[in-house]
Amino acid sequence: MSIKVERASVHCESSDHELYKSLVSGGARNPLEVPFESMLEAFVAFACLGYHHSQYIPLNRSQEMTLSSYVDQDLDLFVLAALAYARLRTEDPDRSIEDTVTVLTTTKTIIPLVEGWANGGVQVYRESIANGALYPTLNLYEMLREAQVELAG
Amino acid sequence: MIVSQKRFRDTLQRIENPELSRLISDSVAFNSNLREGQNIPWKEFERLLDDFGSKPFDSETIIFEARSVDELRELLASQSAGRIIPTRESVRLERIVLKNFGAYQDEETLELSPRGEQNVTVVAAGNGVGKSTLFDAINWALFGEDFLQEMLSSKRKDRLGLVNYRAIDELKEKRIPEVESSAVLWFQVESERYYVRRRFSTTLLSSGELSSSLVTTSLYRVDPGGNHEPLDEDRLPALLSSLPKNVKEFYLFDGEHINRFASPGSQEAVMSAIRRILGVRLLERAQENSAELAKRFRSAFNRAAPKDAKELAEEEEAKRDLIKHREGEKDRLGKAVVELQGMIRQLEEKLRTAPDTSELQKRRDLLRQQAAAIQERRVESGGLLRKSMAGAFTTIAASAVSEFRAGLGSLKEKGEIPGQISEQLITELLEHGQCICGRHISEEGDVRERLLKELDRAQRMAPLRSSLLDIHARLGSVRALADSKCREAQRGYQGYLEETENLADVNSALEGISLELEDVEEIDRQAWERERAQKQHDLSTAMANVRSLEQQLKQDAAELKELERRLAEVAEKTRVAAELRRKAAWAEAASDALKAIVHEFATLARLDVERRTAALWHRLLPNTRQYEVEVTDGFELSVDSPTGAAGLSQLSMGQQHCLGLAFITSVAQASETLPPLVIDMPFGRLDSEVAATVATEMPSLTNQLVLFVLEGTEWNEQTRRALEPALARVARLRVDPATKNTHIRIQE
Repeated sequence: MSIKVERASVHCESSDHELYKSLVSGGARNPLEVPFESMLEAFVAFACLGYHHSQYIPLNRSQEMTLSSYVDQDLDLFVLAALAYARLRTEDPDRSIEDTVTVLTTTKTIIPLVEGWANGGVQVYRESIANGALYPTLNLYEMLREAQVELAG
Repeated sequence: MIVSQKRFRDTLQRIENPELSRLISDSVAFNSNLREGQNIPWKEFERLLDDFGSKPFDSETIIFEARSVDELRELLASQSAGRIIPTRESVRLERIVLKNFGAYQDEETLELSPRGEQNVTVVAAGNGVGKSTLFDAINWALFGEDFLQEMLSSKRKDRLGLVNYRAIDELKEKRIPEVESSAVLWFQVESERYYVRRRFSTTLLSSGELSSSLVTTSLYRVDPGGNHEPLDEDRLPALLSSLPKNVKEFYLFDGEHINRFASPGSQEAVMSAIRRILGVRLLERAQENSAELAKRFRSAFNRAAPKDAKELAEEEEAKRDLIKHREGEKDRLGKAVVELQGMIRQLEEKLRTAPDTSELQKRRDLLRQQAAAIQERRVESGGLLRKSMAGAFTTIAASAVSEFRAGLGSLKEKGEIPGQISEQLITELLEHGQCICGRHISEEGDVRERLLKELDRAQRMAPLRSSLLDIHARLGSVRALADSKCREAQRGYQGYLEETENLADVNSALEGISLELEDVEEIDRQAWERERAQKQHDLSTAMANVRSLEQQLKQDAAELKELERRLAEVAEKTRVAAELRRKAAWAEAASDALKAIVHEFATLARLDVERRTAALWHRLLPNTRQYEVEVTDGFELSVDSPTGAAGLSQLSMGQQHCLGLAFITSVAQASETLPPLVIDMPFGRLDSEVAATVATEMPSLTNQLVLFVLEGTEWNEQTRRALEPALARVARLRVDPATKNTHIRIQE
């Protein structure tokens, strides 16, 4: 077993909880209006977006939004670990790699480290959709495309 | 008819319904022709009612009630007391002719008919000369075998005992082949002359014994021209209706027994006498027969009356209602059919004349279907995008993944992960007790202690290091997975864009078609065609229902016809039953009225007999005036003494004799038939004075009087003088000393 998926709460800023809920369909609503199938998917996407935009904003007033148990263990789990690693390395560049990675073998330590990235991604999203008129799904995809273009550039 | 015609007519007049009055009259006449004990010929009796049975009968029209006894007494008083009302059916005896009968061998004739006002025939003779033989001969001629058997039985004789003994001698001496004994009675009924002959023959058998044949009877009517017309002997009783056998003893009686009517204990005989002679019994029988007839008609009515008329009528009514309802339904459906046919024609006309926009509409429908499909695919593309969105976002964290993997990679390169090498190395160093540099590792030195600590740490970190190695390996495939997700998201996004474009094209085309259709009136041919199909379906259903209704109506008509036939049967039964019911009502009414008539009639007759009997008795025996004669409601003859005691037992034989005579003649007078009185020994029990008085009164009591008297005792100077004014003849019986035969000698 590489990373233990333990039961751990995933938090967001309490003021963003409604936003998360509005973006998650549960699969029934029009996919163009609700871009994610679960809260954890939205969490992963916002974390990546926050990381891309170097926006790490620790939670002020946190609210549990879901549990880490539902995370995709092929892709999302390792991306979250990577984002946690990045946070640790940013916080303390002098810390040895060995010491850094030893804390990233369980979601219990990974998730809290990533919540700041996700919070930052939400804020980026909020700023982006302020002028957006398209469907949320299309807005997000456009943001992803822009980020990819930036990375490619 | 033996009833009092006048009284009966008076009674009938009080019945307000003339038809009923006639019915009762006919009914009584019918019963008068019946002999006592004869079975009622119901068919004949019912025929009486046929004339009435078909007429409406209102029972309210019978208002006949028997009057009270007081009213009846008044009614009686209003009639002329003692008035003799001649009847048309009175019988007059003309003569009796005997041959070879008793003491009479040669043909001997006794004339009996009155001569003008002189209505008395006296037959005077001594004892044993032949008075009673003459008396018996008259009875035999009148009443035939019934009387003969009764008489022979009482006298303990056989028929041979009636044959003249001298004729028997001649037969035995074979001087004659047979002896014919006969009695021929000539009589008149309503001025018509008749005679009846009774005879039988006596022969000598080879054995020396005598044998007599059966009695033969012949009846003849003698017309004014002197021709003798033979009649059926069965007509004799009708001709002698005033002298029926059952009353003969009251008119042809033995004077020795006359007093029995006035003897104590004779009530039954008195009652019977009055009832039979006066016709009360006849009326009673008429009443009983009418009641029985009514019962028979009621019974026939009960059998004939239909029981199911009401049910049938209700069934017919229900059937007619059903037919009416179905005809109404049929009319309604017929109208609906016409209406539907009109609507279908209109629809067909509209479809024929309307511009054909069907192609445009088809294209529009197709485009709409395409639009719906595109929309569906667009949503599917959105779904694909959504499904891969989070994964696609991980591509923008690729650098973090790379750094993390790089960090882990550096540890791996240094052997810190998985770390098995250092652990193995330390273990080997400790086993050899010598470092790779050759330095000895002492058992208790610091080096060894550090190595042991290092080995312990390495062993504890082994699982973590293993995980880190695995993470390192898994991070190697993250990029590929993220790219895959990103491609999926891109496909979804591209699909969305393409379908959005397609949708725009289709919507544009739809808009063009709509514009084209706006130019023509919006016509929904399919709707019209659907409506036409629906109307045609409705039409087919309505026509099928009409056909079904027609079939049902046909069946209903047949059932109604059958019901009408059954009702006609019931009506016929009802008619027959109603006729029977009317007949029953008539018969019941006749019975009720007759019951009242019987009561009144009997009471009137009883009072009449009572009055006449008392008057005559007191006239014959003035010393009996102290006694009151009464015929009670129960038809009992009673005599009350001055002391109030029952007087019959106190009467002398003479008084009883006179009372009986008075009673009999009163009954005869009350009956208004005035039959001939034929009395054997009328004065036998009377002293000379009383006998003279009786003899004086008797001629006026009836129209014809025949007295058989004992020479000297009864027939003496006093009685001869008393009877002389009314005396038609005196017949004396003389015995031939040589032949011992009796001969009749008439003195007129």
